[in-house]
Amino acid sequence: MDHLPKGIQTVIKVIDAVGEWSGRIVGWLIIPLIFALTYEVIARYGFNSPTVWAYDTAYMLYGSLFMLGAAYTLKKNGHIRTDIFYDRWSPRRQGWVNAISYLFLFFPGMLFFLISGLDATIHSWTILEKSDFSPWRPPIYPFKTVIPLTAFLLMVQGFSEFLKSLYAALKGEWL
Amino acid sequence: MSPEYLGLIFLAALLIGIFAGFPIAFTLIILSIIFGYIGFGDRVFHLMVYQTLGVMKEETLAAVPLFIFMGHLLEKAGLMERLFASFQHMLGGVRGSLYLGVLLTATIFATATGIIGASVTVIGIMAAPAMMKSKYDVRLSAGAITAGGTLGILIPPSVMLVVMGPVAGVSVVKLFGAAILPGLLLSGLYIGYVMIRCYLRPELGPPLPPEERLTSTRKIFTEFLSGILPMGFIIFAALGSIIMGLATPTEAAAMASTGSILLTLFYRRFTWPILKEAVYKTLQTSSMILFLGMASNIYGAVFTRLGTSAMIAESLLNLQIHPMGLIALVMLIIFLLGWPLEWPAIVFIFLPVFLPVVQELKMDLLWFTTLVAVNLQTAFLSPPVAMAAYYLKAVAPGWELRDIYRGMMDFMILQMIGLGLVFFFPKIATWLPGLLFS
Amino acid sequence: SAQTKVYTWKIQSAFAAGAYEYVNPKDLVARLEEMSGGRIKVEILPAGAIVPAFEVLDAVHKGVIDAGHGWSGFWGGKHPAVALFGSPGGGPFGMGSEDYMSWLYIGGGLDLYNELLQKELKYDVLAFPTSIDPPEPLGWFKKPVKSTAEFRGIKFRTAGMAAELFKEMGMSVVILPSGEIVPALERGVIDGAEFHSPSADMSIGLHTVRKFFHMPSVHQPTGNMELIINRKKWDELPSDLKAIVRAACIAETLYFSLKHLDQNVKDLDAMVTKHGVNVVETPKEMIMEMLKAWDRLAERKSKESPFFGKVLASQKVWAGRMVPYRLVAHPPYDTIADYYWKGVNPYKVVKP
Ligand code: NA
Ligand code: NA
Repeated sequence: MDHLPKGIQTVIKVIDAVGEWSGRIVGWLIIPLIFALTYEVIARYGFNSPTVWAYDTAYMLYGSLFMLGAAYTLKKNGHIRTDIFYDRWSPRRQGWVNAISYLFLFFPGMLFFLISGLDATIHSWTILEKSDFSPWRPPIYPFKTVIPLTAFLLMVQGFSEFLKSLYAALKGEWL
Repeated sequence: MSPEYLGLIFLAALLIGIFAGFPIAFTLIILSIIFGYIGFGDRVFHLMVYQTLGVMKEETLAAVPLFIFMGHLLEKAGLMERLFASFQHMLGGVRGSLYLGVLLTATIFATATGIIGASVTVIGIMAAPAMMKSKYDVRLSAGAITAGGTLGILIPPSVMLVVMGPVAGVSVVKLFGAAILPGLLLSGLYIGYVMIRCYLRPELGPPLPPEERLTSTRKIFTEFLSGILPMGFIIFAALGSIIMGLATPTEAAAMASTGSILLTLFYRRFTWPILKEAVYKTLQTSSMILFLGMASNIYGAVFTRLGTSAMIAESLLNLQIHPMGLIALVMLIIFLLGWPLEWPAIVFIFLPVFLPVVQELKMDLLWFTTLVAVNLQTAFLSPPVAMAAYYLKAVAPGWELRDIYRGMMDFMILQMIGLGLVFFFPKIATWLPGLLFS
Repeated sequence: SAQTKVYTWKIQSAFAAGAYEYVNPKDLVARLEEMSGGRIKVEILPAGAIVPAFEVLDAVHKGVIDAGHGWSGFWGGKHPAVALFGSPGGGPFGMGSEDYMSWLYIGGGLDLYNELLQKELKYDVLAFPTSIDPPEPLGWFKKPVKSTAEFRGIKFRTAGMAAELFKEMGMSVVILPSGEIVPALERGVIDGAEFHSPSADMSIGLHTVRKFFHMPSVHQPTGNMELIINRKKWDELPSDLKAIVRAACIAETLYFSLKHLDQNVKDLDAMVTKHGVNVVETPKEMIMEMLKAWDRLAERKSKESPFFGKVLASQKVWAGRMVPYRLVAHPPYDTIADYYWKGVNPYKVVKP
């Protein structure tokens, strides 16, 4: 870290903290997911009155969980990659390949993901769209907002990863 | 250039992208955007959103994080340790008793858990030291642990089967039913193999010295029951309730999660750090699998919109090979893909490419999907990308990676025999679901 | 020139390839290509091929597909009034299929629907009916149901406004697309289901998982499927092709509906004689309860949404002209039917 300008160090630290905390918050969605579906089974067999809300609740929690967890997973280097060649490369080469990949593969893709996700989300908020899946008809617009939010979190975390790769490319060692 | 050929370049670009080592999900998204844009303009941006929403609303896939959470928690409850210990004492006098203990524990545990990391790790931690101490053969030991540990993903419940169902358009419940016998068949092949090897060469797995065995039958029995009874509870919640039609896979996964929380509470293993670790690990693994699934869905939709899937299916069908030969060819390709790639990549990206062929040939999709599942089981044991080997190496640092690989190869051959049996005798896959769901 | 230019469309349906409803877009497309002399070329795809079933409307709006085939109940979450078009319940006010059809085409119904899609929901699309559907059966149950009181505790698949209606009567309701209904019944996730018609129900295999088929019902006494066309794609067409699309849709609406009648008779017969299905008659009191529930629901929805009220009022005004006329001018149906067919019961219909 010594060779890195203070400003950039701070940027990496702040972003990584955001990524870490996004995961520490989003991860807990698993608990209401377990509760909702367990309750549904109990209500069906125990009280002979299945719920009207379990189905919508389940997919909304699950969909938000894996999407919003993507940035945290990126921070943990957890997204599936094929490392048969990558692992044999020097840190310098890994850094260059990574940095270039972030620049040309990652950021443009996520930017378009953000824009089109935002477009669909805004339309959904405009017509105050409800769920198509049950007469409970909960609002669906917060759920659609998960898409642009995921893209945004990924771009922020990706920026930190890009800086780290650049460091490896220039210094020949990973931070 | 016609869009179909553009799609072929799209596929080639993906292969190059994959091997550059950048996370596959992001490579898939950008390639879909580029090729989709060339093929049909800015519609690709919206297509991306609808495909994403489609995966986000796929309620069945909610079983993925739930089964993963259950697996992480269950590994902490100490049930495997009890089971393994009781098998160890029960079979102590038999040649290769530790191999048998490993494989039996792994098979029983596989019917409760839906993932593999946990099984290989936990079995490795328990069994590797005992095996080293008893001078067991390193290769055979490593093979038994990795092969046994990976059974968790083939024998239902299984995250892999949950994911494959929607991709192949097969009911997850039927798929669970279809995978039971092939899973047990593999387990049987493993057990038969270690027993024959130890019978021929006793030094591969000497019996435990008498002073290390529990002699009280009662004590062994109590230990066994305290391991198997709570396990039975989880197995019922996770698998029985699905097979009996009482719950969906998603609901079953939730009940099993609740069950695993109760069990860890009961055994006083439930602590704040353990819960936190399970929650965070679940998030990471689920996101890894499902975000890739989402990205592959976008890729697949662009591929279909370009018309390339139809073209590939047509050219394969024009090869004029016997339908069974064609299926064998597809199996070979999937087997080869299993060496460099992990299973989610194969299931999400390549399975949809072959499906139209199978549909066109009017083959039984349930049988075909089960074949793919058994086939992918080999991917865990095929280096260089063999997750099972890394899990084991992490907990048994004394064993050389080279020996672990060698041991895995023998078991991979057994898996291929299993695959061949399901291929030539489709009833192994289709008989049980026919019996259960008709 | 405009006379030789070929317009190539990709159309995706919200129905699975195996469902009987999928015959509708396939026939429509064949008709379109034939009538246009090949100037309109269409690739027709089943649900999920490009976008998931429930995303079809949005996908047409954004031009991801050029047109979509479906049923408005699948986009029931967009606006409560959507349901009054594909799935009007409770009679509607005594209108039969022909009366409802006249409301759509002559009485301003279709204009209201396009106003709803374009102005209220801001979708850049046009909708055309492609079928007029027969009354839907009440659905499939584990055992005969004698009264609406037994609805409580039943977990049931339905769709459109019927979802709200059955919920109003105490059922626990989920809305599932065509491909997921039978798996859900097999697993016992739902106890019962209604889908569409004897033919449509048989095409997805409902008769293999439940044996008690209840009919009639007033949750959806008529309705229609639709073709939704992207505005840009529509504007691109020269006026003669526009006329051809309109005419092809009208022709398909009529022809498919006639074909559907014939198919329903064949399939109900096959289900009873070959597949051991029991047809159960819905008691009159249950029909009355459903009408009352529908009126409560419709009144509530009218208060929540002015546009819903507007559409409902339009239907009521139209029915107020059609139904009294029908009562006076049409010969009594029961009298004639009894005169020729009294005691004939080919479907072995039983009372619950
Ligand atoms: Na398993
Ligand atoms: Na592999």
